[in-house]
Amino acid sequence: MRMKSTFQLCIRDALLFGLALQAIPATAARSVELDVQMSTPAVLTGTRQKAYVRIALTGLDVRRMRAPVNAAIVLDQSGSMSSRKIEEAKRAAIMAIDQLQEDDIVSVVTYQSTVDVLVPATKLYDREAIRRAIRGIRAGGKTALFGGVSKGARELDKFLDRNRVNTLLLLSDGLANVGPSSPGELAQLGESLGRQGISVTTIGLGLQYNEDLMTRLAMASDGNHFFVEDEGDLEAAFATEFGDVLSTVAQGVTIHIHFPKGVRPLRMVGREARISGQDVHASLNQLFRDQTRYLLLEVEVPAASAGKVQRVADVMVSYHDLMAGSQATLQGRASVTFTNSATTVEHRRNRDVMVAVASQIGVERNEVATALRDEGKIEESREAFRANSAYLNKEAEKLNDTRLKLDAVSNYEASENLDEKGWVRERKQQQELQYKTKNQRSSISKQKRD
Amino acid sequence: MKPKLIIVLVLIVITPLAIVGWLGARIVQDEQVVLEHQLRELMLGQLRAVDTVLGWSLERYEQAVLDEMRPFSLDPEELRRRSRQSPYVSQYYVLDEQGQLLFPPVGTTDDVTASERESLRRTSQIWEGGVLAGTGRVAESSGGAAAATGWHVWYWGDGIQMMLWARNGERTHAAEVNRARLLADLIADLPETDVLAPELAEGRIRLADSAGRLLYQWGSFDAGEDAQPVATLAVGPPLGAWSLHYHTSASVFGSAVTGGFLLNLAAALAVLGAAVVGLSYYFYREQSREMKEAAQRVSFVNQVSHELKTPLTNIRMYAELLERDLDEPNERSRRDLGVIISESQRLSRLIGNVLSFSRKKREALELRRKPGVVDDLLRSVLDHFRPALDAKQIEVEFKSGSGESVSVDADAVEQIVGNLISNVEKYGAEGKRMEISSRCQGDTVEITVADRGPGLPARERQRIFEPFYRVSNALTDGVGGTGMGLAISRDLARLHGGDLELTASEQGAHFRVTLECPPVDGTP
Repeated sequence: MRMKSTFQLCIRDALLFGLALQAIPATAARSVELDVQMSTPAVLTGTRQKAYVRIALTGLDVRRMRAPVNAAIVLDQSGSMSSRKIEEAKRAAIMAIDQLQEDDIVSVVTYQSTVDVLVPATKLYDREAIRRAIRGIRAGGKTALFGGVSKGARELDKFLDRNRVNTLLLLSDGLANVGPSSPGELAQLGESLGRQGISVTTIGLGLQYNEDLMTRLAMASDGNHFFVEDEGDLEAAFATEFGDVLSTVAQGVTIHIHFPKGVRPLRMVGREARISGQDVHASLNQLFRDQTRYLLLEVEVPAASAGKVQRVADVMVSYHDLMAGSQATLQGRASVTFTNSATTVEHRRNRDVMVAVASQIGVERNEVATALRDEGKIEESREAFRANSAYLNKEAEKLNDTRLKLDAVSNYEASENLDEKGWVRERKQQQELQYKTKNQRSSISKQKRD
Repeated sequence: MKPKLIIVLVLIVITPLAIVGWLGARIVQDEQVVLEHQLRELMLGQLRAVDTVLGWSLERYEQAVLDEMRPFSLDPEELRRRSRQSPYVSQYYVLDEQGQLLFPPVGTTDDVTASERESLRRTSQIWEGGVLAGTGRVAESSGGAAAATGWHVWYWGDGIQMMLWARNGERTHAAEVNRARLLADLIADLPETDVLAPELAEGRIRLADSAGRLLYQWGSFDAGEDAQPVATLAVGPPLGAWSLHYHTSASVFGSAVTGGFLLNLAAALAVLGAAVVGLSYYFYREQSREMKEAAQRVSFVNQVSHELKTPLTNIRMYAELLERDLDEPNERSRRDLGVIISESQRLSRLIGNVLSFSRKKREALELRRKPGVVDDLLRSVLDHFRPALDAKQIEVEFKSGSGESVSVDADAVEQIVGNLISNVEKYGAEGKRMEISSRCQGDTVEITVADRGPGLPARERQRIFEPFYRVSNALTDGVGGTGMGLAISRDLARLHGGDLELTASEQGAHFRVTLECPPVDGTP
């Protein structure tokens, strides 16, 4: 069996290479750009050492057009949503639907103790009927979140099409208390939907929702997650999400990374990935115009003599190009050169990759600090947040990066909000921050808000 | 009299209504039991329909997984790709004929991915026990050869886990399903809030897992968290650990009956009530008319008595004057005059009694006990009535037995006995015979007056003592009387420590008067 799989890998390497050669002339018309970079393209000789590979995918502005949408809006209408919250949610949903065109498909599902398919999946021929249905929503009852997502997914399933952007937008302001409610179960559902090309974006409203459930559901399906403390910001969150949806250029992105013999993949930082032997498989549901999303892998490079060039990773990306309406592939590779000069190593460091590494490590440490606080170890947690802030601050100085600086500030703020009262809000904020860093999706932009 | 009448009337109205109401309630209760049973059956029927939907839904899921499984592959890379990309399955497995795992490759730890290791941990109890080859059903594979497929259910973590297996020659391919997705697909096939049969709009159906946790619910009735279901059904295999519950408000059972039946019952009660009330009102009017007539009679007697008083007083006064002025001892004139005086005195006492009775002042009846001999009194009364009795040819037999001197109100005795004799004269004349007897026994004197007339029907025996009561038959028509005689007589007898009763007899009316008359000491 082992013999066989090694043999197969050799064949595939050859195939990959051949494909890469063929693919080069076609890249000009592509709507996605692949960039594979090492954190340290030059490494010291003599010892096995760790390095990071960043695989970045950027949506390109090749054609001013957009793919049709298949969207399900799943709204919480439980009792806690009453008065202003439900009104803002209705307004935001109507605003979002107004951005869609006649050929787009939309469905609206509401849930409380039970679930209603308010607007079954339909093209937007009769917008007024949809608006009217949404305006009629009244709050009251409990929170059957799982049922809401199930029904929303079924509505999407009716017109599931890889030429459409398939997305489910879930709004909730409370704890799921009818049906499955553990983050694990929702993540399992999210994973299944993600595999069908449906991304679930979750908006947590107020301070009562379960941020673990909402982030894990979104993460497992490669959707986005927003923490909206004040219902006045709902419209901005909906606008941001639909901004992304309407600028989707590629869908169903699968990334296969093969590591040559001797290079050992240790882990994928910040994301779930299946590592089997020398191969790593990962996927992204959507790529957006002018946005870069990346995977970060930690690898161990074998020792070698100076001057030797070691191929570290062969990357093959396959995606459905929504602009061209066809399947497309991209190849890339990364290698390191061995040197005896520490200065060269330092000099050739890739700043962008180092920033990505620092921010992902910052997230990991943030998660550790959060876990400590969850266990009630407030002092240890405070120490961990402070240490993480110091680390991010140092990296920000070294790499001259403002984003890292902001992360450092955020971690410091977290260390000051560990008391019972402040933590509820702070935890949601930190979860959202972790999410954005891990998943590189849009945040609510200030411009859209004003 | 009047409050009593009202009570009687109220009873007349209420009793039938209460009986009919009670019977109605019983019928409603029975109806309720039947309806509840029917409703429960209806609800179970609904749950069975839901179970059928779940069965179809599961079959679709099964088909989707089987479609993914085929063509059966042994290539680890292909199986990994499928495990990685399938929305329905979280991990594929392949077993050889001995039940040993071929995939994921357990023996060679290097090749097992982290997620596969996790999957193996989850399913270890299956591989150790080797129970996957359970009962399955036989389905036609695309190749035409029979391939058995089936579900294996086991508990792990927080609920049941499911594995679909399919036999392919000597090997068994198995797919561990994504439980959350399976549930989501089942839920998507179940109704929304309002989709229920219209006759059961007030219901809620709940799907619960093996631990009784609520998975999904629908229906417009908002059942409480701990509400008891009206009907429960276990979901068919392989989801047998799950159950369906029907909840509804108690009012559904109530309203189901009220619908037509209670309306009819209420209408019947209303009609009956109206009839009874009408009837009672009629009786009440009749009664009050009689009462009014009687009252008018009293007032008439009253007035007449008043009118009679003055001339009577004059008669008495002049008779007494005449008696005093009578010089020569004309015995006959003196005796006749004595009769006039005593009769006019008796008449004025009678009038006095009538007046006092009509004023509802029975207490005003007074006894003036004096030593006297009852037999003498009886004889005197008989003397007074003799002309009248003779005129009607009534033969009188007097058995005297009370010759001692006792303390007695002579007027009262005369009035009671006179009344009884006058009744004989009025009603018992055709018997042509009257028997009067007296008896003394200790302090009690007993007087009986019996005739051989037509007597009284049994049902009249008590009523004749009521004021203004006259036996209404042809016999009494045209016979005068205030209708107060027997009532006053009995009151007087009771006042005298005794009673007046009508005793049973073979023929005619037998009255018995008892009077408490202590013997007067020192008198022989």
